[in-house]
Amino acid sequence: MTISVKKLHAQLKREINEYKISIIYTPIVLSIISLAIAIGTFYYFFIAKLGEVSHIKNLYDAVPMAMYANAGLISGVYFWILINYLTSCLYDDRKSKQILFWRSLPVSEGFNVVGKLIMVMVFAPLFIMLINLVMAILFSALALIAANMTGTPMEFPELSANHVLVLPFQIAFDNFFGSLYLMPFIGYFLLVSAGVNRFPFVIALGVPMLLTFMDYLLNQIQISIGVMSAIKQYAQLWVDILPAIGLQAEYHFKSEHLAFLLSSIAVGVIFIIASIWLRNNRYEI
Amino acid sequence: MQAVIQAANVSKSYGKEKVLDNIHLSIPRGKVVGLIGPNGAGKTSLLRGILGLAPVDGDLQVLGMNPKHDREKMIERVSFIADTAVLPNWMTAAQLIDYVAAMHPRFSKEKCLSFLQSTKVGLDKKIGKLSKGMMVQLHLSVIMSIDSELLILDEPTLGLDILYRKQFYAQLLNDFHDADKTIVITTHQVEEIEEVLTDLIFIKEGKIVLNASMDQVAENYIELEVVQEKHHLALAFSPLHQRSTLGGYRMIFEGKSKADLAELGSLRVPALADIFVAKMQGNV
Repeated sequence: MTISVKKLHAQLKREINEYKISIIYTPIVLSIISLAIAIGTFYYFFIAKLGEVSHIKNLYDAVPMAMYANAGLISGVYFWILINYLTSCLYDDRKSKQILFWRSLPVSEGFNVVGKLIMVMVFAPLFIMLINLVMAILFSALALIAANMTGTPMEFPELSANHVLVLPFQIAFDNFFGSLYLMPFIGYFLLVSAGVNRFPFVIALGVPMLLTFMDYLLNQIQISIGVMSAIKQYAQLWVDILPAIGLQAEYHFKSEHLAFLLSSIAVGVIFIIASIWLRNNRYEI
Repeated sequence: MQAVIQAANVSKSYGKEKVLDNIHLSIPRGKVVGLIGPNGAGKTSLLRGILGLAPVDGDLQVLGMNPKHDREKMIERVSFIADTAVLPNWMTAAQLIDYVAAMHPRFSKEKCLSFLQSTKVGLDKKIGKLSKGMMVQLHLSVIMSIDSELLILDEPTLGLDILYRKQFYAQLLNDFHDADKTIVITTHQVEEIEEVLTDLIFIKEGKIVLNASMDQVAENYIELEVVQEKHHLALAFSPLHQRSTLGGYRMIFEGKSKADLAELGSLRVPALADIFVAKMQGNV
């Protein structure tokens, strides 16, 4: 597998073009809606209704609040967008004749899958960071304008004291670092995408849900297939490492956290290798 | 010189159905080969085996490589159109050309743009908005701009009007083909490729029933136009195929003496389409 920068650039451009409505336009539209809501809110609370000096202080908090709300909204929607992307990216082309064109080019399946991984683990966090950064600047500008309109000028350093401009980088780190822990899921979704004959999104989510439900029912008659206890253990590990992902000072590193990280990466890599193998060895065309 | 495609004992089955049955084949460099057969004869299975798109049993080598195991390396030197209308419809023509330019070390963007100048394909247009004919023109332009050693075309002009089909084959010979490049074409429109072929392969029910150069075909196959009265005499020469005409018959013979048959009526070299029908329909 040869990866050159030129090829990688072209591959990512292809992915962005193919999925631009969900991956690019959706978060932009959501951010525009958030901005419109923020403009309305700022106007209503800080200018029209409560244009008093005492309330100006609230502006300092309103900016990061708006940032968090927007970032939360985008992240929530993007989470589903990325699941949909992962479950469909290795499915769509093999279900159409397009695969005959892609396979007429000297591009290996390994390269193809790596391109999709980079989209999810690198491009997506960076793109979200860029949007959050733009939104941070716009929300800050909005706050400055609102403050000025009330006659109590507010200075930019006061905003930065609330880490407004640091937040996008913090969120990007969370997303990137978190995606390493999420590699088993990323790999699993790719494997489903490369393997199933229909409804990849439904199957990818449906199978674990079905197993959980089965385990729940079996638990009622004192039988366990271990799904629910595995989920509990996994959730506990996430609770433990969340401060690390969030760069919180109170986090204390434990060796099992490193084991969790390494095993997440290892399981993810196994799924990814299986996806590449399936792509190379399935002939539906 | 090493054959571009070398196949020995190549077979393929889908369950109990055998679609390729012990194929032996050797295609040398520089040839333009027509792979012709009726629907379901095994053409596409053979081509997909050659391209490493589907597994086959037996020994198959393309440019000295195993199409399955060395596919990525092989595809740098082999280009193909395995079906029409397979281009991603969400891309624009320009995006497609840029993508291929970045991915294929043997692709010439300049050449591709010059091919497209003679068409109505708009570079900024989404492929999905192009007519089927334009889509095929774009695909052919891209493929012909790859400096490959082997070009495989599976029904390349399907959906094109007669003017462009003629233009395409002329362009294929003038701008693409040379002594180092081999072309394998499958088509139903046999008469269209007759003039461009150097070699011919007929495939029927997974078996090769004819593999010869066009010169050998012209030498071995004779069409006799015989009147009713001499029909029984001509039948004695075991024609491959016959059809009735006004007041007589047209019969196709394989490997018979021209001098003997000349006494029975007028002789000519049969059209490829007639030889195809004769070989596919079997003996009289």
